[in-house]
Amino acid sequence: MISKVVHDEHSTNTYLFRNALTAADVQPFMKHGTVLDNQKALTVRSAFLQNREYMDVFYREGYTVMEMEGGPYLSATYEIAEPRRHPSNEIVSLVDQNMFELGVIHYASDTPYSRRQSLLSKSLSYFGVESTYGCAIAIARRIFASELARIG
Amino acid sequence: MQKQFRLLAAVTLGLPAFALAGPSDYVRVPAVEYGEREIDIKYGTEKMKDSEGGERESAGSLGFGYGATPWWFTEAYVKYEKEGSSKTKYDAFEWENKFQLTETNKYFADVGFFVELEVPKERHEEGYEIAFGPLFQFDTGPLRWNLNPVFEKLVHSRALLVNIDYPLGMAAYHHLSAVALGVDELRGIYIMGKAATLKAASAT
Repeated sequence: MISKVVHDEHSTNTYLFRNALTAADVQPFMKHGTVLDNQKALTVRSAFLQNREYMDVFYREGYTVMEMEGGPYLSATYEIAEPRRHPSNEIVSLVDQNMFELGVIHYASDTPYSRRQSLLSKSLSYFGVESTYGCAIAIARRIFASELARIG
Repeated sequence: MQKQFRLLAAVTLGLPAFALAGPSDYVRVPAVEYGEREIDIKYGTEKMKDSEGGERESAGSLGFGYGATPWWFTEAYVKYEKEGSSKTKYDAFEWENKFQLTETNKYFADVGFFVELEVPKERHEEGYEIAFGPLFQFDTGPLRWNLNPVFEKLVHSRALLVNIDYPLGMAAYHHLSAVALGVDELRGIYIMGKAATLKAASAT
């Protein structure tokens, strides 16, 4: 899942950014899974602490990815790009920063509140490994491609 | 359909249907002309795919070469490049040496060898590059074939990959902040994580 919006429950910011990774970067490495781009991600304090009613609010707002690190990374990214502390409870655009590339990608492990599974409750299996490796390969190739393009 | 026409045209004309080359690449032949002084002007242009920006990239070079011995030709040249709408700019200095290993037309294929050293303008960032490889040339009826497998070695890159393994929550913020404080220049931040999808949460 490739997002370009992340809402962070730590800072309560909603980060907008230009994702350097696209579905075309990952799909060649996926035999069984599907790549979804243009997603919106939600960074929660703990995946275990959520409930269906609360998550349903976000789902109705178009958030389909629930994870635990994207928001804080983007808060730190904001402070790298801007010489100030990250704001709180704001819509923060990182779209115009061009100091460095920003790529955010998640592999789906399970669907909370369905089939009684929750994040970290199930082993990856082949399907999880495929998407995990697909994401890792896409990032590695992106890094090498960028560096090769830079050094000509 | 357009691809099929292109392929058909290439086969009809005896040309390669595809090429793995950039605008500054060219075909080398193994023969060396002893005593020859050469002024060499090359130019190439390529339009990138739309997925890669769709811009036109052009490259050219001006070289001076000399056939120092019957088997050794040496050439130095400067390279220029133009990317998209930016101005044409000096790109690199190159020194190429070509060695003829067999007599012309004595065997089935003429064989040579070349070594090329490139000193880029941004050599502190890009590093030096060395390229080398054998050169083959042979005839089949009216067609002359040249084969130039090139081995390139990236001699130097100052890029460094830092991997932060799986911190969750604010640990991610503190780790990345600390790493960013210690580096002079960041080229990219790539975040990969495990996630649950909310789609089924609402659907079930």
